Amino acid sequence: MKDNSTIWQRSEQLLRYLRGGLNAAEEAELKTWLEKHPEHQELLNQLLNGNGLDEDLNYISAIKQDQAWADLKHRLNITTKPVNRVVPLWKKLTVAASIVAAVGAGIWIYQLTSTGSSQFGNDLVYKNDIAPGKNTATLTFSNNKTITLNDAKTGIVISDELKYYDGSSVASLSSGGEMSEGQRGGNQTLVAATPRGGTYQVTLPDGTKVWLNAASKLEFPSTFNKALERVVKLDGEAYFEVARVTNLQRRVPFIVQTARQTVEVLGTHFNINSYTDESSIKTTLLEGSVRVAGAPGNVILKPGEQAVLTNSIAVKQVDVNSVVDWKNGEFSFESEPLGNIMRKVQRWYDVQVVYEQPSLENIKFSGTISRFEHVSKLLGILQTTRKVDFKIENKKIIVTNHLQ
Amino acid sequence: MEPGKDHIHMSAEQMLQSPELLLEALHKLYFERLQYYAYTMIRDDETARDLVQDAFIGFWAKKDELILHPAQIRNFLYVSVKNACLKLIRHEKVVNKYIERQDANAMDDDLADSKMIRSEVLMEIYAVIESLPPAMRRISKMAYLEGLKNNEIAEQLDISIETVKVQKKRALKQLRLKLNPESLLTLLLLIKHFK
Repeated sequence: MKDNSTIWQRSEQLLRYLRGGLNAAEEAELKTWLEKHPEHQELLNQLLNGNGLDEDLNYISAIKQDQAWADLKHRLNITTKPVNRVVPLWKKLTVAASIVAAVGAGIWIYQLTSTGSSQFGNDLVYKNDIAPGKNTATLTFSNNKTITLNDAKTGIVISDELKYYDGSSVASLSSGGEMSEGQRGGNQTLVAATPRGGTYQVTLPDGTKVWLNAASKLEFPSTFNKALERVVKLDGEAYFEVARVTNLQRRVPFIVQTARQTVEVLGTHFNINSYTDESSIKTTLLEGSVRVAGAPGNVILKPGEQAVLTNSIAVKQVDVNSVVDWKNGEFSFESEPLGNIMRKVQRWYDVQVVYEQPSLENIKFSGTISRFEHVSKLLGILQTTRKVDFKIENKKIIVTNHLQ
Repeated sequence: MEPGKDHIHMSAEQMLQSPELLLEALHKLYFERLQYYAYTMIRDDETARDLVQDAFIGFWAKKDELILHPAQIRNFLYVSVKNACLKLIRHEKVVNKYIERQDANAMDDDLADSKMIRSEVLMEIYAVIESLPPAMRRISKMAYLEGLKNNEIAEQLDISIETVKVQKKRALKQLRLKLNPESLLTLLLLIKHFK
């Protein structure tokens, strides 16, 4: 399970730590992270001692980049005039990658730090920029009582007691702190739901972890005791890490029902996208094995495969990272039509998207960006392709052709 | 990576109109760290080189769709290399089921990502050291990488301890001049070894 911090932020953070540039809270967080990642602790130790690095540095110095470039040019049939190797005005060594751009009359320098942030002179001015989604959800009991889950927490665990991931208990707001008989224990059906702009995690009574994306609903029993099958119902999108459970020496299958299909699982990691405004239900398997069954038939998936249910079930290989990007706190798209990208934006930022021309929806983009930024960041980078322009008006995003 | 050759001046227009120049600039900036990264994953030099070249070829094929923003491009290249390495490793594991070529730990996604961090950080260290003039560089490497004391360095290089100290002082000064604030961190590391 990935952190929300990106890899680049961690690189930069490690380096800042060495410089003494972290405050107490940041340092504590870094230490916790280092405890979970011994390989980075080791890197840090090596950096502090200088030991054990010479092999790596020697390897780097032996790399023949010019030869590789010559080869590549040849393979791609490229000819270039020699690049103007202007010596920089100041003799600084920028060790993070930097592309120096001169735009228009002035010199505009933007420098890429390890975090990937850059001072991009953005001539877009957005009024009413839109904040990203956050952890928010509701939980409804069989007696139809609904509580709002705390948005300072990331998830809840369902067992005899309802607790948040950090161990604190879930107080029932509506009944003034005390859970009534109908809410505690017994066997009842619970529904966890996220609004547009919401996301939450739920750990089911069997230990199965579920990440709910925006505008999604999961219906599940408060206990799976002695069941020969574990059945839950999904509307929207969720990522599952299913716990292995046996009963009478048999593996107990985990079954996810959506409107038109059933996914049967034996202990595995997969993502189901079943939004009604998407053209198909997509089930993507990361690890393990699942059977996807619907009116057209059924298939068994292997890791890296996706079942696409429309009037038939098709199986294809996919880039799983693009599919579970949301769970890792990112928007990640690979040759994806703008329409698909903007539907994700709609649900997460809770906005409406309007196209000046329908054909704009088909333009393809590839890229990755954190989904915890304001929407202008994402729109800004899409705009750098000069294929589309965006305007934000209140909670509406208008997509237009790029003006030359 | 040679000092002074890590800047390519190109206007945004140039980048879009002359993708060949952009590719050259990207290759210059990213090739070494990507090859190092691939090598830490699959431990085979030639294959690592091939996988990285493939990533650039992949970029070239997709350049019309890609968002030409530095962070996006670097991400694209790293992820291409990572996925290619993981695919190779998994295939190798299937084919050589009973041959242990990798560590005991399965190469999973998280481990692959963590190697990216190592790659980025080490490139920075490398560039900093390489930016020094030869004599200072030699002494810095001996002090920092090999952990040698002043008298040991003096003996190996057949110079006086005083000379070693002077060179170290000069190196520090050079580093202060050459490094931008973000990289002063590494300076601090090296300072420890300059005492």
